[in-house]
Amino acid sequence: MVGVLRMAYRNLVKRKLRFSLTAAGIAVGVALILSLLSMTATAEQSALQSIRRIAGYDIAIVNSTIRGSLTLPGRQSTTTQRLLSESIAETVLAIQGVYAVTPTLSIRGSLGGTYVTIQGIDSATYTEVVSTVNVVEGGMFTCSDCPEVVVGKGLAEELNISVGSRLALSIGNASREVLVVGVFETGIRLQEMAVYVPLRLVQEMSGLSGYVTSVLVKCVDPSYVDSVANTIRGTIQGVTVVVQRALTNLVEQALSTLNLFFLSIGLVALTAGGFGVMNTMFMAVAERTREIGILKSIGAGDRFIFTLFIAEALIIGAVGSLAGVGVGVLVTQLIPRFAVFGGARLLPGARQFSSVPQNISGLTITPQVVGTAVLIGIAVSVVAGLVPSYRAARIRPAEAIRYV
Amino acid sequence: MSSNPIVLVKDVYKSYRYGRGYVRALRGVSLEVGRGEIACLVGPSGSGKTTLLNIVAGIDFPDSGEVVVDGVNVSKLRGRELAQYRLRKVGYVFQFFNLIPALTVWENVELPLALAGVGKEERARTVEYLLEVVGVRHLASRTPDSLSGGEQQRVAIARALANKPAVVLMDEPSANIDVENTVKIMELVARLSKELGQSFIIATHDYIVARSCTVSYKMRDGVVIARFTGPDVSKALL
Ligand SMILES: Nc1ncnc2c1ncn2[C@@H]1O[C@H](COP(=O)(O)OP(=O)(O)OP(=O)(O)O)[C@@H](O)[C@H]1O
Ligand SMILES: [Mg+2]
Repeated sequence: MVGVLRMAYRNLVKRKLRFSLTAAGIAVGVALILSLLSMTATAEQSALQSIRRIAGYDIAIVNSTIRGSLTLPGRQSTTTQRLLSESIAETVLAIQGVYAVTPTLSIRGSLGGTYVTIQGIDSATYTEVVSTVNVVEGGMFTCSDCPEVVVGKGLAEELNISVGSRLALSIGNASREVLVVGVFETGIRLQEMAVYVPLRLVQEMSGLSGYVTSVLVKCVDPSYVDSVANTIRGTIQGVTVVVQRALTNLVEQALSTLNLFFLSIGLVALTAGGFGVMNTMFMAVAERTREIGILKSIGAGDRFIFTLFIAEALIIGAVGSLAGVGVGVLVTQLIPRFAVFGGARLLPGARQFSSVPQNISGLTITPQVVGTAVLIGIAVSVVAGLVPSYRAARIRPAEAIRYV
Repeated sequence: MSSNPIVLVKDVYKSYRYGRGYVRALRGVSLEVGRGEIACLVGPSGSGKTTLLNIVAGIDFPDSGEVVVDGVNVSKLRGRELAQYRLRKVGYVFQFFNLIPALTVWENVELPLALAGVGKEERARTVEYLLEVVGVRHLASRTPDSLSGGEQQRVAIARALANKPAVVLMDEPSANIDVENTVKIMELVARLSKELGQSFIIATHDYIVARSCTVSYKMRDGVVIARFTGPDVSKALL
């Protein structure tokens, strides 16, 4: 069959200028929607990235009871920590939806004579859960009780030490010579005034074997976070469950409002494009009145005529949308040269982007954003073509063929 | 006259609203066209020829009276049935601008076959045969705007014949073409009538057209005032 689409296409290319201008009207709206949507998508991503950079875990479990100062057995009181049994980690790992669990023992101590926060971690599981440990020099220790440490970049600069340095680590009365095997960076100087030490070593030196200060949990994906948190609350007594996701939700909510606002700007532009399509379609119907009369006289039904014209609106919408995507992509690649996204730069003490692990070089254009923009563009065009196409279908042939 | 007419027009009235009044285009027209007949409608401008053709074609509707084509009562048809009637029972050749500009000659002839749901292979065979019959096989891939008036007229005839209609209607076929082409078109019409038994109703002012008819109806002010047959057909022009 002489395809209706092909027929519609040939009619359109006969009026190239009009076709291009009408499609351009749709393209502008689509490009606008696309760049606005990807701007918010990027803002969202970089905000979420910032949150992850501060803490890459989904759930933190800490002790909920305050017992005042804690006296370490056989030693002087060095800390006022609230402790948890390390065995909680095993229990949590068994919960449906949990991807990884890591126990940490955070304690005050000194390194080379400077007071620091000592993070006793199990390196294997810690890097799984807190995905953003960014070791920039050397590497993470891989043993569980050897005298090796990874120091924050801020601390390393302060102490003027680097990978290979040996110095004294003290917790309470215990002291041990340790080897610096790596330097980490977070982009936030305060967090870099810390030292990672194998968990077993910290437990041994502090006499807290079997105890930790927190258990960090990462879920299979964010949708499990709430149910996992509830299960933990229900099965483990005396703990406080802190859901990182609450913060994420807040950011997402704020951004979805922004999204809606931007989307409506794009829709206003598209509406103008839609009126352009309607105008063009009415013109096409008027010009081809006699042709419609002839088609009907030789037996074309109302539906055929309707389809023929709606196909033109569809093609205008599709071509306009694709052109809009092209322009939108171009615009989104240019925007980052003039504007800065992401919170990192706003934080005092934050480092330059170049040192942040996932560098933002352009706005993210996801397939969903492109799909949404194209579908909206086509839909607007087709809707605008409905009335003209219906008019075309209802033209009475006897009158139409008198028309020149 | 044949006892079993292909086209039967009985006492048809048609008036148009015009301004505050009415124009009475047809005032009780009756006629019959038999199989293989070439019936001419002859009469001065405004006598109702086009109106009558449109009514037989199923694109205009009488105020009263009856039109029966190949056993189908046209005035009773609506919607889809009407489209099917136009598609299968009649072929209409207009005075000018007959062809769909976005389609090639081939596709123009193929269109009614496609609308009727004819399969691809049979369509190709039929289109080829029809273009051969009207003598424009060599123009198949051309577009309508590149054809002469006579060539366009031939393609339009081929398209009108596509679904083997009961009757082919032609409105002033000679209006936009020269004498030579008119003669050729009418030779084609005569051949189709003889060889295929194709019936025609042709509205005309032209002697060359009228003399090729087998029967002619002289119209004036919306009524048939005389009927001529045989060697007298062209007398309708007087
Ligand atoms: N849609 C219409 N609205 C108003 N008047 C009409 C309409 N169609 C036809 N008429 C009138 O009906 C009368 C008959 O017109 P018709 O076109 O049938 O004449 P015709 O015999 O074909 O003339 P011509 O030889 O000029 O083509 C004319 O007076 C015409 O003005
Ligand atoms: Mg006329």
